[in-house]
Formats: sequence, C-alpha cells, structure tokens
Amino acid sequence: MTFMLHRSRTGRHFSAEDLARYAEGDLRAGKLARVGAHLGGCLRCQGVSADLTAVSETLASVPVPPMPAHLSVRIEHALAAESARRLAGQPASGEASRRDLPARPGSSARRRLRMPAAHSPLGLRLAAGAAAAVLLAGGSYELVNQLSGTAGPKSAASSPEAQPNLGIEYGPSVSYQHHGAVDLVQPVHTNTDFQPARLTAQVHQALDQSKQRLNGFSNATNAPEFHSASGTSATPNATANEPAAGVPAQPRDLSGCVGSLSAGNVVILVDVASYRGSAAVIIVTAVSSTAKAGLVSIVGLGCDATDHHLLASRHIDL
Amino acid sequence: MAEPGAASSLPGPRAAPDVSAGADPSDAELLRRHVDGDPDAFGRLFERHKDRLWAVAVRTLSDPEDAADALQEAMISAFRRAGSFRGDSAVTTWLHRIVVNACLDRMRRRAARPTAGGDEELIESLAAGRGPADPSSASDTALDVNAALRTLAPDQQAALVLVDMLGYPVADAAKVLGVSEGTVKSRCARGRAKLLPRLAHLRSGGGTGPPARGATATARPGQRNQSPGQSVLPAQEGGERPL
Repeated sequence: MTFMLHRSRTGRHFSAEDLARYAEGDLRAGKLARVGAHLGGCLRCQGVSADLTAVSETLASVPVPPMPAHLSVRIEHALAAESARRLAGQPASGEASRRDLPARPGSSARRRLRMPAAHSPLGLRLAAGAAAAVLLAGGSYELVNQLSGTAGPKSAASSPEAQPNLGIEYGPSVSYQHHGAVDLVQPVHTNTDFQPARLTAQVHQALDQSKQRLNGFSNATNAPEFHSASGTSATPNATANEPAAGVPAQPRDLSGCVGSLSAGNVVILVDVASYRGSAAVIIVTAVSSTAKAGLVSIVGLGCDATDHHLLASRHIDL
Repeated sequence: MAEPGAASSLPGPRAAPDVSAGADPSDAELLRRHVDGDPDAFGRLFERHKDRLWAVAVRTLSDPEDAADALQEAMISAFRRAGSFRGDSAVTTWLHRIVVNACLDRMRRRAARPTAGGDEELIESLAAGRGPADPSSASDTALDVNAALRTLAPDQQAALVLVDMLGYPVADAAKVLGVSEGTVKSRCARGRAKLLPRLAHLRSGGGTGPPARGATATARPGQRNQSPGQSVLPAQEGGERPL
C-alpha cells in the first residue's frame, strides 16, 4: 500500500496539515483548488481527512473533570482575603511573604510580656478593663477600641453582672505569629453549627459570645505566663485552662493551622465548633489594625500548617 | 463549528438578558460594583463563571493543582485590574483571556523547565484528577489526549482546547486569544494534523484508512465537521452565550 502514499491518479498526495488547513479554508486559493480536486478522487486523503475529523471528536469526548471542592474553596478564600485586604485599605501583599516574616524576639517579647495576647479574646478582656494596658499595647490600640465597640451594651464595662458561664468553653491557648511576634489566642467552643447562609450573623454572635464569656472570666484564669517569647509553640497551663469534658474534637496541630491561616494578621476568634453538621474550626482574622475587615476561614479537623483543609471562607465586616 | 448565529453576540448586549424575575445583575454591573468597592461583587462574578474558567484551565494545563493555581492567579489579577477593564469586550471574554494567559505563562514556564518527564506528570495528573484506581477507558482517553496535547505549541494547544475540546465558536476563541479568526483556524488545523498520529489509535475502527462511503472525508473547505455531539459547556443561564 505504500506505493500509494506519494501519488494517486489525481496527483500528489497532500500532508495531513494541508488537509486540515483545507478543511478550515486556511489555504491560498490555488492550493485550495488543488487539494479539493485531489481529494475528490483519492481515498487515502479522504481517509486522512476523516481521521482529522476524528481527532476533533476525540478531543471533544474527553470530559472536563469537575473542579474539586477544595480548590474552589481555596480560590474563593484567596478572593475573600483580597477583598478583606482592599476593604481594610491595606496594600496588596502576598500572604506568603507576610507569613514568612521572621520573629523579632527582642522587641516583640517585651511588648507581649506587658500585654499578653492583646489581640486575643483574652487580651480584649484585659484591654476593656485597663485602658493603660491597652495603650501599652501600642499597635493594638485601635483594634481593641473597635472590637470593644462592637460588643455594644453587653460589652465589658457595661455588663458587670454577666454570667461567667454562657455555655461556651475555652480550650488551651494556641500560639501563632503576628507581625513577626508570637501571639496567643484562646479557642472557644460555642457549640454553634455554622451554616453558609447564616455565617456572618453566626460569626458575629460567636464573637460577642466569646467576649461576654470573657467578661465573666476570672482574672485568676488569665494566663499571660503561657506566652512563650521564644517563638515556639506555647504550652498551655493545664490547670488554668482545663478544657471542659465533652470538648469537641479539634485539629491535632491547631496552632500550626491558625498560624498559617492568620498569615500575619491578628486572630480574633478560634471557635472549635461545627460547619454544616461536621466538626470544624472557625477562625476569624482581622485584616487590618483598625479591624474593620475580617476574614472568616472554616477548616476541617485535618487543618495543619501546610494543608488548611479549607471548607469555606468569607470576608466579614467587623 | 458553531451553530448558526451562535458566534455573533459575544461583545454585544446579551440576546436574552435576565430571563428570571430575580434579575441577577449583569457581569458588567457586577464588575462595576466591584470597582466601586462592593466586597462581594467579584466573588459573585467568579462563582458565576468558575465552571467555564475551570474547564479552560484544567483542559489547558491537565493537572488540577496547576489549573487551580493558574485560575487563582488569574482571578486575583482580574480582581486588581478590574478598574482598567474598558468594556470593549464582554466581561467573560476578558476573564477568559486572563485565565488563558495565566495558563500559557505556566505552560511556557513548564516547557522551560529541564526536567519533569511527561510520564511523571501524567501520573501526577491521574492521581490528582481522578484517582489512580479509575479503570475506565474514558480516563485512558483523557490521559492519551493530555499527553498528545502537550506535544503541541502552547498557542495551538490553547486554540484546540477552546474550539475542539470545549466547543467554543472560532469567533469567541479568537476574542479570547486576541488573534484573528483565521489565526485560530490555522492553529487548530496545524494542531489537529500534529495530533493525528498520536490519537489515531483512539478512533473506533482504528487507524488511517479509506472512510466508509458517505462519511465526512470529503469535507468542503471551511466546512469542517460540525461540532462534536457532546458539549461540555454548562447550560447557559439567562440565555447567555458560552462566553
């Protein structure tokens, strides 16, 4: 059959490329006519043309794999973070570069010792009760003001009668990096089952709850000494922060998870709760020092420093 | 390969805007709101088009993680550059173009990398995309097609992904790729010719040979076989066109 490959009775065979371009009308007039005349009488070139059509059919037959949910969530999270950053008037910066900020043990350790965990719910309570301490905290001043404000009439100063136990419990503190310093946040368990449709309201409620709980929280259980200035994971004081029985499951490396997700921002809520009925952690970071914009990240129990297991994310006004 | 009239309305007003009483804001309106500071608008835009944009990215890059990276990079870029969108094309065309360019950048970078054997990447792709245990022949076809596509120049690949794989009209593909329709046709034709020996074995009935009488072999110029029967495009909402 090979003798047919070069010539037929209608003249020289054409290449697959010529035939493909012929089918698209992508040839000059003269060649177009020659290919057309040849094709009419050449079974071999007709076969090649049919095969070219089959190439297109084969390409079309490959189904598009659906977008895996975790990748979709990852992009939505990136967009939500971008939105929150813009809302905060913060210049766009890569999360990674902020995350990679080296710890500055000297200055930051001093600051934290004066005002441990100033940004965490625990710290907020201290701030509400002690304005001087807030001022010492320097950069966190605005944040504290803002967050105290959002608590409204139930905020620290105005509700001394708040019940110490509002049905939420605290887990051991976790440390994370914030602007190169190590900060602490104490996870709460609000027992909320977060739902996509009510997420914003539920997050605000959880924030309020955690603050109310703090209002009734005894000073004795505040544990600034938990704070590790070394930058390594702080070991919580088990006697001061004994988690209640029935505390929900949480990621094994919650500290790594929170630290990585915070990307250098202040963590204002870590709620070990559930999302759409499954165990999950709701992490809220304030994207700017004025704390008007927050980013809610909802992660599964597999969350650690390298894999966030993001289930959903949303930006939020604080 | 377009249905008659299907290629014409890309940049212009939608043929049947807002059929639903809910009247979702148009793409252009969402983008305008985003530029005006609405923090949710761009997310809605992404939500609306992510399936199609994903299809372009994953078909172009094969590897789902790579595709997601490119898509994310493109969306962040679009988010930031939205203010410079002049409205001389449809928002979807603009988004597609940014995604395609992000994918092409990645392909070129990948091509520049000295290592990364094709087989390894294929295995990764299989593992990441469908799981290693998928025995279906559809998956084999996908692997063969992905491997064959990678032998093409990125420009040819992008054209074939849009036109042959995803069924976009040539006119739409031309707008997305920022080239003339003739260039798209030419890239597709050359790409198909190059794929021919690599994909011939997939054809049911096997290999090159004289076609059955009455088959499509005697296509007239410019009248390439009509669009593949199976469209991967999602159903259009509100009467909108694929792009």
